[in-house]
Amino acid sequence: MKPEVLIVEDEAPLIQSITEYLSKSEINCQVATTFSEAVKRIGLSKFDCVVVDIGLPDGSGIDLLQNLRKKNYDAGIIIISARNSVEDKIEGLNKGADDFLSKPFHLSELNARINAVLRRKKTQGKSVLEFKEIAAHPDSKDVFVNGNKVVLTNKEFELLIYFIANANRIITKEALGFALWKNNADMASGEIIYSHIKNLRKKLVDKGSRDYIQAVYGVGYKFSEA
Amino acid sequence: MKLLHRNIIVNAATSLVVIFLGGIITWFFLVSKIKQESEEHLWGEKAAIQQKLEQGTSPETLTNNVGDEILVKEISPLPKHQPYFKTIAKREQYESNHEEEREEEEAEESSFETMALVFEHHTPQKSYEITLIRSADNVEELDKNILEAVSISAILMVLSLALVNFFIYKRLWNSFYAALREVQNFNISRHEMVQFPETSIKEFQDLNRALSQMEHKILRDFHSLKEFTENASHEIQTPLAVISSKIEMCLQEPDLSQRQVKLLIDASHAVNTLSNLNKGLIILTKLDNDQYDPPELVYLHQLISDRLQLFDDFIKEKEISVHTNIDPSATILLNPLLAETLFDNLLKNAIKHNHAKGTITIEGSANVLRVSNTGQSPRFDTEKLFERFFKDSQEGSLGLGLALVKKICQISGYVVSYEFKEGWHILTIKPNR
Repeated sequence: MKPEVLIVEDEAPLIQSITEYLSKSEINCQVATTFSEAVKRIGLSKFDCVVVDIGLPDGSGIDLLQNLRKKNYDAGIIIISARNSVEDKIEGLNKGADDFLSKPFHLSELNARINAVLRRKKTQGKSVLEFKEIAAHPDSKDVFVNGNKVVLTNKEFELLIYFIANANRIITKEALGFALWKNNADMASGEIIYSHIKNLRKKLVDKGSRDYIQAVYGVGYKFSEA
Repeated sequence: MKLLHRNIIVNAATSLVVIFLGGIITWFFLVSKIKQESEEHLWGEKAAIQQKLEQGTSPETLTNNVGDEILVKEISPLPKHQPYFKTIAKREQYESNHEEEREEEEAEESSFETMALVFEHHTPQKSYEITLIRSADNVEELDKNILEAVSISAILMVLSLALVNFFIYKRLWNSFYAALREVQNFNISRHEMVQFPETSIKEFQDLNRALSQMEHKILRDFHSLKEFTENASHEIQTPLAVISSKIEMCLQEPDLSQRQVKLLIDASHAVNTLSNLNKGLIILTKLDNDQYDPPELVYLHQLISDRLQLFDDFIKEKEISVHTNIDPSATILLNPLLAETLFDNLLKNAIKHNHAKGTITIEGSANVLRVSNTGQSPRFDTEKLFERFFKDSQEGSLGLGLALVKKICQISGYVVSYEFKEGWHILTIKPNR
């Protein structure tokens, strides 16, 4: 059964991009554009993850968050905010949000965060991330190719997780830079990213994995079979 | 000069002048009064003496029962004088030396005079000139006495003015100083209203009212500015998020040409830059508005090793060697998030403007944090280094990093300075004393 995700966001073009991007993941997406609509939808179905914008036309995402936590609603919650303010982030996380993302964000980043939250919400032991012969265990940070353990650095592991979550889609170098270095990504050159990817690819292939990492000229990378 | 001192000086000067003028006026007034009184007295005595003479008393044996002096001189019967007044400065001299009489008369204004009434008495046998001199015991040294009295009251006046001023000042201005303290301690980011002390003095009530009206206005403006900043950033970030997501979706399209990809990536870079710029400006605005929480003691040692780890990739990429010499007890008093921002920007700067295989030296002690890096000698005006949007032709640099460093230092009681010495760019942060 696919996990259910609710996107609460009032900007229609943005919702359209998000849902289209997420449709390639194993996710069922529902959308609410207002606070009241979100409350209604949450009352009707059970969501595994709620992505909520802080600034909604008829209320604050923070209130929705508190609402859900008060009712012990068991869903992962990701706050997205255009305000990028530290206070919003701290407040959101303190009030029970699982993650915080400030606008503008890479769709691949949002997708990776949603996947991470969904993984954490799953029952213990089942949180293995699999792609063909590759199996990654986010808790222990162990990676296996056909059952053979691959030793990766932190950054290589983060890259792999990111790739698997965004499999079959083109990921820009900027998005990868942000995934690895967050706000200091402006320091990251294409060469640094490339050198990490090169190492990751080599380690996986050495253990018998097929090479799924494709360079997309001028843009970035794509993790896919074809 | 304190208000109190000026007040006392002005008061003292004014009262001295007034008392001095008052003394002069009193003196003139007394002199004319005494003269008038003496005249009346002498006329009365003259009448009494004339009565005695008419009763047959010999002029030589005339006495006066109120202590006035009587001088009798025989004169030739003619001519007849009307009685007249004259003034005598010093009786002794008058008595001893008639010759000087004229002189004394001329010296009229020199001192207190004694009044004399001169009149003639004619008997069939002889004529007499009788000079009746007013007893002067009570008016002698009057000028000296007045001077003394004036001086004493002047001293008393000044002393009491100073005292009264001092105490009144302390009491009256109490509420003024309390209000002043409140205004001095006013911190807009604390969002608390200043509480002005109650006062019964109208001027201070007016002042307090005006101040609190001004304060309301300042707070209102501050909040609307803050709101505007937040709204502006919100309004900008959301369309940026839309643009960025559309570019990302567009890149997913199959069969894009090289040219199309290049166009999209260029647009994507610009969106990224715009977003970073916006974030940087929001932080600067927040710093300008002093909107950060109170500082904490951050251990330099911990902070620097954390951040170096984060920048490890970038340091290795340029094969830069990093030397640290940090006192384990050295701290910096700063909001932890700001401390991270501060140090990240220093480190980014030291990496970006370094040459390959260069060196970064980080020294930290209780009183100084110094980040030095090798690099080309500056081709820019070093004065402008800390200005917003200053760029040393570095690709991808926003020119906000060192402006942020400076601003963070400024609001946290530190100063940052730059120098280039023997091939090293040196940025030094010290407490602002």
